[in-house]
Amino acid sequence: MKFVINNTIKSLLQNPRRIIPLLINMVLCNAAVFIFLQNYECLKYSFDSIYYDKTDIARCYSVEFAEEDIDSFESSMAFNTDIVNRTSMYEVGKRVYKELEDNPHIFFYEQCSSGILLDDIEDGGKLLPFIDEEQPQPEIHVEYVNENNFKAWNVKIVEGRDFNSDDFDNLDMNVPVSVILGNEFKTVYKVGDTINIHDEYYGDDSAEIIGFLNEGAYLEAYNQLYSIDNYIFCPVIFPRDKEGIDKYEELDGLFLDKHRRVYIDDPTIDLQALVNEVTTKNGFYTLVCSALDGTEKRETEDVARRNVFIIGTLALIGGVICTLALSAILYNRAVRNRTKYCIFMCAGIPLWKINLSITLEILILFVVSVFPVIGLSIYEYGRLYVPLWQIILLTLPIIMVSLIPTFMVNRNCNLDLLIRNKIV
Amino acid sequence: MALLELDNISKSYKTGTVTTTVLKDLCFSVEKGELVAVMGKSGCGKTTLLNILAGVDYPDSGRYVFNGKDVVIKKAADGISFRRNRIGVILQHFALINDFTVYENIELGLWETNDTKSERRKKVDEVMDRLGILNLKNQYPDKLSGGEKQRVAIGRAIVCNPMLVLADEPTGSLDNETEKEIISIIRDLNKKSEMTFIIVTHDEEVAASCNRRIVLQKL
Ligand SMILES: Nc1ncnc2c1ncn2[C@@H]1O[C@H](COP(=O)(O)OP(=O)(O)OP(=O)(O)O)[C@@H](O)[C@H]1O
Ligand SMILES: [Mg+2]
Repeated sequence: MKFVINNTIKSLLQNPRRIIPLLINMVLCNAAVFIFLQNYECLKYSFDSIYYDKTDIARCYSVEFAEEDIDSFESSMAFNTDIVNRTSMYEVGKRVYKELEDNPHIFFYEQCSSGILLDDIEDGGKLLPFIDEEQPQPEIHVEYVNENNFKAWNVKIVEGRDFNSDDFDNLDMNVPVSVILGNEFKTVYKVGDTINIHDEYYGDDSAEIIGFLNEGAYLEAYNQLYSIDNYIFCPVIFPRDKEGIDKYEELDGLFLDKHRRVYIDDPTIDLQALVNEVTTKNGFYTLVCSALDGTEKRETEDVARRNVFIIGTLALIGGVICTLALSAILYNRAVRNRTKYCIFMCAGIPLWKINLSITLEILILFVVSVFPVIGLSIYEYGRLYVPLWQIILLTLPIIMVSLIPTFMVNRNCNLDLLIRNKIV
Repeated sequence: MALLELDNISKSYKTGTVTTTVLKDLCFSVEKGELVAVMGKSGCGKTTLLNILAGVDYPDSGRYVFNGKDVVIKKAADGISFRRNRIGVILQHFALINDFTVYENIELGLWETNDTKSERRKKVDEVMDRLGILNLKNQYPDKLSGGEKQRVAIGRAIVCNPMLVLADEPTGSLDNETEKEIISIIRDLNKKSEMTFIIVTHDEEVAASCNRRIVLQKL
């Protein structure tokens, strides 16, 4: 090993000019891999087809239970008053709601987002990586969900458990509310941990973490996809406002919003027909069901798919070019050093030690060559967007493959070549 | 006891359909401390013989016993481990590494020993002193004369104190004057440290300075 270490250090330090092309090449390799990974990361979300399955049939709908011109906020207030309570529109809506709720293939899910301000959170420091940087005040996203949301969004509990009926009935302020966290939180918390969550209007409450979602989860809202890996999911009962809940129950636990989201697990069901069937029996009201069929997403996906293809192709070409360039440099170096290696062998040093020393040298250069990429990313974005291990995972094979020609040249080094003056 | 013994060694090379027999039923032995010259016409198999002795090549048939043990070479790595710290090699064209200093070139011969850094330094200094090149310690080979280069190469070959030193035309690229110098160094080493030398040479004068000569016939 003395020789390996000594020779590696010697070759690295002795001729800095010779390692510069190698280093530049490796930096380019890393940069190419980094750019590819970063772009891929950005485009990846478009591939999550959560609103239509493989046959492109809509599964999620938005159903309008109130007239179009009532503002969403007002409507939710209106439903809580006797005035709307008495309208026939309300009665029809209620019937449709009942009908849909009784259908075993139809599930209502919630569309209700909020945020927890970071200042109010006890472990604000720990949660810093999960804040939404676009918000004026740093906050953690909260989604209020019922038992059907995860099904509709096609996300899975990968650790812990899903919400059960007890979680949705838990109004006792002494018992922590159950929460499920997005996958990113797994680095900070584990199932069973208790955290303090804070709502701007209702104050603090303690919450027990019962589970984590899969990585790369998304939800749809306002025709956009949102990555929910850094979201907190609370049961709809939170914030646990006793007064509000009493009122809600008084109103037969009906909608709080004019829109309701519906998920259907049987693609043959025509939701609009079903709704029309009820409404035509009860007057001239039409309740509109709009399919969240992902048309818009599909278009973005097409573009994204093309982009991924282009970037993938470029990355592949880039990878091949990097590999070829690197192998060429290393090959030339090996040919140039053939005599040297033969002399090493003449002095009794086995081939594997020579190859090990070369590999070690290249690996050290590789480690050095990662730094400019890390530096640039941190300078540009404030953090490394692509995990380091992913860069290494892709660049290392390029470097290993590039070493193969060198090993082949070295394999043919022997004392005979020296003795018979076949190389000088 | 003989240091090495060759018993009916044969070697031939096949090029396409033509088979050239280079060595046929060669037998000889070399005692410890001998200084042997191997002579013969060009192409008679001197280098081939040296290759077999060094474990670089292997005979088609026959036995090669070195220091009482049969030498069996199946692949290049066997040859390297056989040579390691047993056999030093000196070549006509010196085979020095140009971006290593004289010191570092000689030190190469010690990497496969268990010597510590200070032991290595001591041994290399000692050898340089013996060869009269201590003043060239930090020079690079391309600045040296032929004779100086060959001394460095000898230094590398003998620094690990091998039992046998093989030299292929060690004076082949040197002028008459330097040739004498080198041969007297070899004689000196042979006498004082009882290292065995086998020297391939065309040169009558070099052969005359050896204790014994083996002349190969072209087949
Ligand atoms: N690898 C090989 N393949 C085929 N033939 C070979 C090979 N190596 C050597 N020979 C042949 O073997 C014969 C002996 O070669 P060798 O180099 O041993 O001769 P030599 O006595 O050292 O000659 P010189 O004095 O010119 O150095 C030559 O005819 C040579 O062509
Ligand atoms: Mg020869």
